[in-house]
Formats: sequence, C-alpha cells, structure tokens
Amino acid sequence: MSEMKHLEQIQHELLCCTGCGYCKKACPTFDMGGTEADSGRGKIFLSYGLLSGEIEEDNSVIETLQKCALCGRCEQDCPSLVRINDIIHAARKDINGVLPAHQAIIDNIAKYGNPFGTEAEGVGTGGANSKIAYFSGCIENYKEQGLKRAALSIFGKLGLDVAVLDDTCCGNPVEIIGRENEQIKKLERRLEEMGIKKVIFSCPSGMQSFLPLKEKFEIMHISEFLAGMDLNMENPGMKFIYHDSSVLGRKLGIYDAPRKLLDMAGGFIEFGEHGNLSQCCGGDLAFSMAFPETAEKMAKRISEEAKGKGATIVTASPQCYHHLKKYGDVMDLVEVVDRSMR
Amino acid sequence: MIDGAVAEEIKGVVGEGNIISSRAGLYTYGFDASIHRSTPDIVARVHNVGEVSRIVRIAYEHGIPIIARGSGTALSGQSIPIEGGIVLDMTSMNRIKEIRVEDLYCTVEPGVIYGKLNKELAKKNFFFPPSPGSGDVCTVGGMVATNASGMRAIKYGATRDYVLGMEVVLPDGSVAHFGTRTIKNSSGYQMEKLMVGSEGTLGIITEITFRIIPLPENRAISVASFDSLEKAGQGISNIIASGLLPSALEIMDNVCIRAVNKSMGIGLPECEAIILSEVDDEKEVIGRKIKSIADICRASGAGNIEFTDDEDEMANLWRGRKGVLPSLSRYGEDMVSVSLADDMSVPISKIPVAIKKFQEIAKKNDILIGTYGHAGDGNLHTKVLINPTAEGSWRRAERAVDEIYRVVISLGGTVSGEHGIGISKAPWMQIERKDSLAVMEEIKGAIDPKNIMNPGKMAQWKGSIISYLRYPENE
Repeated sequence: MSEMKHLEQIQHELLCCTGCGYCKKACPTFDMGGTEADSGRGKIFLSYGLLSGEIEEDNSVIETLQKCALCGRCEQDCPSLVRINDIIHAARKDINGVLPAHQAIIDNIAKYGNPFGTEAEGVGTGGANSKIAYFSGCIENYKEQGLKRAALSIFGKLGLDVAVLDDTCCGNPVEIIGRENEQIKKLERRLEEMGIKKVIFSCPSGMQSFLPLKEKFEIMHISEFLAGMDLNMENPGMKFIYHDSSVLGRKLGIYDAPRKLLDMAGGFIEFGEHGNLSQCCGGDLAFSMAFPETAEKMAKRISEEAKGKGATIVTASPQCYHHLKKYGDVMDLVEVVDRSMR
Repeated sequence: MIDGAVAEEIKGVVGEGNIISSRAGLYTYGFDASIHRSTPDIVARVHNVGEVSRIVRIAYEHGIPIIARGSGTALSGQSIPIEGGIVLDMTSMNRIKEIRVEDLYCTVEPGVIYGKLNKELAKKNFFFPPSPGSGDVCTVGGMVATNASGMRAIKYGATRDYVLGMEVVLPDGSVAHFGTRTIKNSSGYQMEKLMVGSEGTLGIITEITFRIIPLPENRAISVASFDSLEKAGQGISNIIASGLLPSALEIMDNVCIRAVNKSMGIGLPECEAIILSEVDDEKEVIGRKIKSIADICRASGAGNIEFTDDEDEMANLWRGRKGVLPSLSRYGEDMVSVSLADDMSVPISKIPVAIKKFQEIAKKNDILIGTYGHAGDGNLHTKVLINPTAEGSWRRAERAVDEIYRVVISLGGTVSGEHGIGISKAPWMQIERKDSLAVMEEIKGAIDPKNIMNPGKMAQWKGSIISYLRYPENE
C-alpha cells in the first residue's frame, strides 16, 4: 500500500463528510456525468478508501480523482463546510499514477516551460527599471496573444513602465494535477533578481500559484489593478454578460473589481448563477486537456445561456476565454477595457 | 461476485456506456448518507421500465441481489448492497411525464429530483408538499421507498398521503400497475401504499402518480427562544392542543443552534432551544395565527419572539433548519455527526419527557446528542456526535441508541418517522413491530420468494448495527 501522507493530514475533513449528497446539487462534472464517481462526495469516499487501504490505486481511481476542475462549486452547497477541493487535491498528491494528457503537461512544462510544448515566443520587453511586473501566463503567451497585446496597450495608454514576464509558465497545471510545482521557485528567484515588488496577473490560476509568495511580493489581478485607476472609458456599444471564473471568484474572492470595470464600460448583465454560485466553464487547463468532452459540455451550457440573453460573455480569465470562445461570443476583460478607454 | 456471462447479459440490456464496473466506480456506489458501506458487483444506469424489467429478470433467474438507488441520500443504509449484486442507478429515469392540475395529479419517473419537481409544479401554482431536508438532491423514488417527509408533515402529511398510483417491476421481472390516477380509490388492496416505505424489498418502482395541491399564497415564521429544551417541548404540545395547525413546527436545541450558526452563519438566537413556527394561509388569517402561536409560546415560558414574512429571511431560516444535520459535523474538534437514532417519532404530548430522557442517556454514555426536528408532528431528530476514531466510541453510541429507542417504544412511539429502517434501525423496528414481523416476512416471501430485492435489511437484519461500517472501527 502506498503512503497516504497528505490524506492522513486531512483525515478529520474526510470524516466530517456525512455523505448527505448536497455537493451534487450544482456540481458541473456531476451534472454532465451523473455517476457517484463524478460527484464531490464520490471523490471523498474514494479518498477515504485510499486512506483506509480498502481500495488500491488503478487507472479508474486516477481518472476519478482527476475528473474535477476543482471549481469549488460543491463547497458552496456543503453544509458541513468540508474542504472538498483540499481532500481531492490531497488524494491527487498521494496517488502515483498520472493520466497521459497530464504527463504531457508535466513533460512540456519541464522541457519548454509551458504546457503546450511550443517554443517560447515571449517579447519579455519593457520595464528594465520597473518594480512592477506583468505576468501574462501561458494562454496569453502561446494561444491568445491578442489578450497580451490588449493588456500592454492599456499599460501604454496609462503611461506605465511595466516589466513583462511572458516567456514562462507559473506551473499551476502541474500543481493542480497534484505534483510539485518547480516553476514557482524559479520565478521567485527571477523576480528577486529583477527587483520586482508588485506582480500583476491576468491569469487567476497564475495568481493562485503565487499566493504562497504574497509576503514577498504584492500580487494582484489585473482587474483589481485597473479598477483602482482613474480610467476614462466609454460604452463600446455591446451587451455584456460577466462570467465569474471559479479561481478568480471562489478561490481569490475577486468579484467586485471586474464588475466595477464593466460598469465603467457601460454596464453588463449577470448569469442566473453568478458570484460564488457561478458555474464552472471547464476551462482549467489540466481538466480540459484530460477531459475535453466534459469540458465542452460545461462551456456550452454557459454559452447557451449567454446566447439566450443576447449578450457577449466577458471573462477575466484567459483560460476561461480560450475555452469559451470555441463555443460562442466571448471577450476578455482586458479587451473590453482596452477597447473602451478613451 | 456475479460471473462474466451475467455481466454481459446486463450490458446487453443497457449498453456498455451505462454499466459501471471499474474499481473506483463500484466503490463510490457502496455508500449513501448512512454509517454503512458495501460495494456492489455491478451498477447499471437504467432509462426505462423495459430495461428495469429485463435486468430484474436476469437477477431473478440467477438469484442475484438487486438494489434500486436514487441519489443515495438514505440515512439508514437502505441503498447499501450488503450482499453485493446489482445496483440499479435510477437517476436517469428523471422525466416528469405529466402535470395535470385539473385532475390534481402529476406522473413522474422515480429519478426526478424532489426540488426540480416542485419548481415545475410552482409554475402552475401547485406543489408536492412532503419537503424532506434533502429535497434539493433526493429523488422522489427514494421518497416513496422510505415514506419520506419533512417539516410540513404536520399540516400536509408524508409521501404516502400523496401516492395515488405507481408502476412497479416485481421480483420476477413482470410489470404491475398499482393504484389509480383518481383522488379517491376503494378498489381492492391498496398495493401502492404497501410499496411506500418498502425500501426496495418488494419491487422496483418505475413510475409514480402523486396527488398535488395548490401552493399556499402566503407564509410567515416566528422564532421563539426558550431557556430550557423541556419548556420548548411543552410549548410544542400546547400549540398543538390549542387546535392551531401550523404548516411547520420545529424545535432545535442549543447544540443544533450553535452548529448551524457556526457553519452556515444563519444568526439564530443562541438560547437553550427555539421553536420555529410557520403558518401558511390567506394574508389576513396569517397575522392572527402567528400571534396566537406567539402567545402560547410566551405562556409556555418563551423569552424573545421574532417574526418575519420576508421571503429571503424565511428562506434563510429554512436553509439553517435543513442544514442542521450536516452542520453538526462541525460542532467539535474531534466530534463528527453520524447517522444514528435520527428520526424517532413519539405521541406529540410525550415530546418533553422524551427530550429529557434523551439528554440523560447522552450524559450517561458520554456522547453528545443534538435534538431537533419536526416536533409538531412528534417527529424528533437526535443526532449522535462521536469521535469515530476513538476507542469504544461506536459501542458507546450503539448502547445509547439502544436506550433511546427503548424509551421511544415505551412512550408509544416509533423508531422511524420519516427516514426508514434499512440497517441502522432494524433491531429496534423488530422490537417495536414484534407482532407484525411474521406478517411482514410472509408478504416478503410471497412477493419475493427468491429474496433478491434488497436482501438482509429491515425485518431480515440480524446482529449489531455496527457492521458494514464506513468509518474506522477501533473496537
């Protein structure tokens, strides 16, 4: 039997789960799959089985534990306040096996510094003497360069000298899978060498990975940074619906700043379930690369609602943007701000 | 273990995509919301009565246990396959087939979620009232199988009172239709009522016709604080004796109040006990009724009494009340809430004495018991809090449960008011229903001669309930 040291540390959380099943109420993977293993409760039961030695790891165990975007929606409905994500994450750390799609992410980050296995295309420009860095994240660097251009355009309009870190990954997908994030240590050294004091993120997952360094650097999401500026914006003549990213909202607690910016840009409407009850779009890299069909269904559900309301989705997460845009109209918040700034 | 050929036969019925046979998949179907667990040999996700019938026939021919499962929210182990076998996941049979307000009924498949059914009914200003605490996730099939109810049973009754008819797959795979779609029915044995509360031991329900009733126009709630649990218990009795008929009349003790305040931030008054009363009626009647209830509470020793008819505030109070059971898991550092002795019912006037005795039993056995429930209909929930990893804790809990149930039976009560028997309450149901056990077994033998339908539960259970435990057993 493998050592289950992370699950051992969280045993009391496991025992606090009464099995009531409230976590099924709005879990997106359960909505799409419908089996016990798809639910938060199922993953807790499985984790308990691993800890007690009643069940041993095999491919089905690995797949079950990984088939969750860790969006945290279930925790909003758990009356026992069980830290469901922490339990699933602990179990991921304690299992040995890795899904093929996840192994590719791990290998690519180790070899290329990004999860896609492409050579770095970063510009890495600006701010040689700046104390502020913009960490654009791998979606903006390798998949959605338009978002990076929009962010840099905003900094330009504001006359800000910002160092751009766009040639490496934060390692978040590796962390989500349950493996050690080596990238963050490298980034910490690099930021220290550059004399950076503040790091601005457009990718909420990147910001989440930086949280352990928050004593050393001031870290903030680009929506918070911009909401605190005196921006002169005008309505671009579009109807927006704001989608809370699970990480930006439920993990980082950032709900107001993107809304403030959208208000400044002429207003927006809400999804039926929004804020802490927002539905996950399935765009998390590790999740969507391993479970593309489920991730597609999750995104389509959100897209359909936006279409029904005749609005363009605005997200403040490049991962959500990259995923949602395959299924409908979507803009990143930086694009909206860049377009609306006079 | 079922052999490969049988598994292939089942696969042939529902298709490979609806079979769960992986290690992880099967393991997760071995649990519900009870203290028990046991892994099935195969799970089939069924979509219609034809599939259910064919799989039951396979089980019948090979003598394999077969257990129907909805959302798996049973609190007494009803959905645990203790002898392995086939689990039928009924949640894909989730169509609302017909809502006929002009005939006061709706016809649904068993996998429909209770809350979703009421959402649809509300569009036509009707509802299906039993309101179990797990209503947002539980299936109506499970509600029928356990005769579930909830906080509005005092005025509106339990699931049984709304079952007009049903379609059932019998243990040999044949399909029977019990009951009617009419409001009244004196036509022969009420077989549909026999199926209610049968917990999957007699057949598998594949369609249900429920009576529905108009949604009340207005509601209001009062929360009365008491400095003793017994006074609150007496208050309940006095309200009932007055002839008032609230739509809900709930009691919560200090342990439960603090648990929901801590984990859900509901903001209930932190006194020794509260009575939560709800009335529903026409607007002009509500004010008078809620005031009468407040007067009775005051005469019974209540201190502060608060009122609200604000929809959000009422929803928040009910959210807190529904969250008592799981919230208790956050009560203490090492203590967690386990589903034991959770839904006894006593004659309403016996509530004060029952509560007093339960607290004495808790003290004697060194466990914590939270008391709450639908006291207005005599239904109490005692929640046992234990450290499940501490040596001897399960045996102490079992001893306390035994003492509690013996008190309940001596007061003329029943060991289960709304959750059902399964495993966790079986030994005491066998004491309570001593002189009807033989008839129950005759019925079971006549309908299910091969004993394949959820075997080993209820009247068939033998021995200690600290069995098939899903927690670590440190005895």
